[in-house]
Amino acid sequence: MTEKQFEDFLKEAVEDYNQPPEVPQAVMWARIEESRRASRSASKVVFLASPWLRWGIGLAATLVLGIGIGMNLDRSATGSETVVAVDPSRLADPTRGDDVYRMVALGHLSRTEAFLSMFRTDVRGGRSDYQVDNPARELLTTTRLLQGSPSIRDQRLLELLDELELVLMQIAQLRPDLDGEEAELVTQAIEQRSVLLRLRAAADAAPELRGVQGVL
Amino acid sequence: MSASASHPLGPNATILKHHVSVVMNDGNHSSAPGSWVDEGRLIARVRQGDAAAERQLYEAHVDRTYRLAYRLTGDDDLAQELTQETFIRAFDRLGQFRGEAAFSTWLRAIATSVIYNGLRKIKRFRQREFTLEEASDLGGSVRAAEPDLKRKLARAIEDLPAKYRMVFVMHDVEGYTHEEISSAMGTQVGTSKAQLSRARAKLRESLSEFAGEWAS
Repeated sequence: MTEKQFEDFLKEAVEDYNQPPEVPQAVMWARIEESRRASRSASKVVFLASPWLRWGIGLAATLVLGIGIGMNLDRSATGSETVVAVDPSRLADPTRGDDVYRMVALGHLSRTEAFLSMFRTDVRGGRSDYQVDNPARELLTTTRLLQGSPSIRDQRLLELLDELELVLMQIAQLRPDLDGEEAELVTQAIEQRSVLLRLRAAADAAPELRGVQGVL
Repeated sequence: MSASASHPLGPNATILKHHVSVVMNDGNHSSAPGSWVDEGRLIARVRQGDAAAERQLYEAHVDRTYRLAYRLTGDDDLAQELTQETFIRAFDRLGQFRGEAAFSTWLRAIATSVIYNGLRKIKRFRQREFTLEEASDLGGSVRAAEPDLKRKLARAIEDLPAKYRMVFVMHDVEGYTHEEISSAMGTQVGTSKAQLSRARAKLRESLSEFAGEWAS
């Protein structure tokens, strides 16, 4: 057998690989319009994605991580104190904390969007083993942390997180191979409440941070 | 004053004047009689907030975008979402389009980025269950449990690393040229060729047990 023979074979064999159906132009256009409308009306915060801000975000993230690790170490250490040196002027500006919060929230929304898309696809495809390492629980925990954060200022984001908490809680409680009908109901709720669309619109409201985060 | 001098995108804008490609259901690209449009003017209208122009631009390019998304995901919902995301991003960033390349080239770069990131996200979520499935495939009789050639081929394509898969599907399934692929993916033509060659080699290896099929 030669390379040419294999290429010829491939050419023929892949002709009907994932053959697309008729393009649902009107449906997609309606959603695009809706999303753009939602994005335009969303309150936008101007972010300065300058190098110092990125550095600042990195610093803050490291600080948070450091404090977390420090707290854990503290429990096991005997009487030792963790001292963290921080430039007070960097902490004095409350908007920097907001930026970090929004960056974390944006990453979370992106992951949740991907998970919910996959969940919906699996349910529609008749798969019921979605609970193998179900990430809903992990996403639910992060959602609740974000809901409870004092940095949350955006009412729309809070409403979206409340919505996500409800949906993720339902998914996390599904039993594998048993709750097919329940899963279908959750999927319907995701669609009826335009959860995916709202997730996307929220992400679109902060394009600068999307760049920092490197997500969809 | 000449038509090009008064063009909203400047005197060189006539280079943007190209024929709208219509994708037929059989996958071929054909010319729609009388569909010559000045895309530069259309884009200028979109920038001014003309909703009808937005729709026109969308309709001119949606088929090919959706087809590529569907070929790569094999899922209607996901393909729709990735297509929508592509256009939402394109409209949001239209201000960055300088007209140095055709709009279709610019849009294709956005589409491949959106689809590529989407595929990677999906793969991450499916990694665990995928590994479990693979592991279970190893048990039992090999030949008797093998799916037919096309199923095996489809699986082998899905197993390809995301970049190889993109290049393979774009070139061998959708008929893009290496020039089109490299400009969309921001790589050299040589890279695209090398990735296609590696993708084919991997497929050949995965389908080695069917060698008789293409050698005959």
